[in-house]
Amino acid sequence: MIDGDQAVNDRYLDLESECISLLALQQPVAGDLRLVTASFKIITDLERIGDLATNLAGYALESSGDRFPEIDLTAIGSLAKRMVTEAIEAYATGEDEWACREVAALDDDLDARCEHASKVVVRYLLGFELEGGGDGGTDTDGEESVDGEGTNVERLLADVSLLLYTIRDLERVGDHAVNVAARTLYIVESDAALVR
Amino acid sequence: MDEPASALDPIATSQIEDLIDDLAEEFTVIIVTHNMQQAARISDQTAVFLTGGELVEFDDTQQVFENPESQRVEDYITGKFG
Repeated sequence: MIDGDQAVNDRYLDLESECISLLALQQPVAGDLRLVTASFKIITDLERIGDLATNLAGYALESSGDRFPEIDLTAIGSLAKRMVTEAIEAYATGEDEWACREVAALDDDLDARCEHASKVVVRYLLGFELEGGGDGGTDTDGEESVDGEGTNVERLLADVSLLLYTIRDLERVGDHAVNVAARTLYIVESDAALVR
Repeated sequence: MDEPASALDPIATSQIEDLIDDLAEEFTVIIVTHNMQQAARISDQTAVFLTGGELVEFDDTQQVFENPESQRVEDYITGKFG
C-alpha cells in the first residue's frame, strides 16, 4: 500500500497535465467543460485518498492490535471503501446519479460510526484516569501497569493515538468519496447541490 | 455586426472586442458570429440558430455554454456535429 502511493501521485500529475492541455488547446464547453473541470477536481480527491490509504497502512504497521475490540474498524473501513468504489463507478459510467446521492447518504452513516468510535476511546480514557490508571492502574486486560520505560500508559497512549488517527482518516476518505460523487453529479446532471 | 472580427488577427480582434464592450455600456449590440469562443467571451446572451435558420436556443451566455437546454446546441458547440 505504501509503495503504491508513488504510482498514484505520478498518475495524478499525468492526469492533471492532460486536463490543463484539454482546457488550453480544446477550449471545451457545455458537457465537455463540466467533464474536464470536474475531473480536474476529482483526481485531487483520489490522490488524497491515496495519501490517506498510505497513512492507514502506516498506522496498521505501528499498532499493537486489539486494545478496543468493541470498535469495528473493519466495518468502518469497508464502508469507506464501498463509498469510494461506488463514487468511482458512477463517474466511470457517467449516468448513475442515484449512486452519487447514495454515496452522500452513506457518508452520514460513516460519520456516525466514526463519532461513536471516537467516543468509545474518550470514555475509556476518562475511566482510565478516574481509576488512577496514569499512576499505575489497569489496562483493558486487567493487567497491572508499571512505571518506567515501556509502561502500559505509554503503550495505551500510542494505541489510542493510532486508533484516533485511523478513525479520522477513514472519515476523511468518506469525505473525499462524497466529493467525487458530487462532482460526478455535476457532470451528469449539471447539479451542483452536492458540491455545495 | 455581422462577423465583425472575421479573418482578423488576434490583436485586431481584441481591439474590435474591446470596442464592442465599450459600446455595450450604452447600446445593445447584436453580433453574428460562427466563432464559438468569441460568442462565449464577449456576449451576455446567446441565440443559437442552426440548420435552416431555426432559433434553437436563447439564454444567458453562461447557461448556453455550460449547460445548454438543447442537445442539438450541445452537439454543435462541442463540435460533435456541424
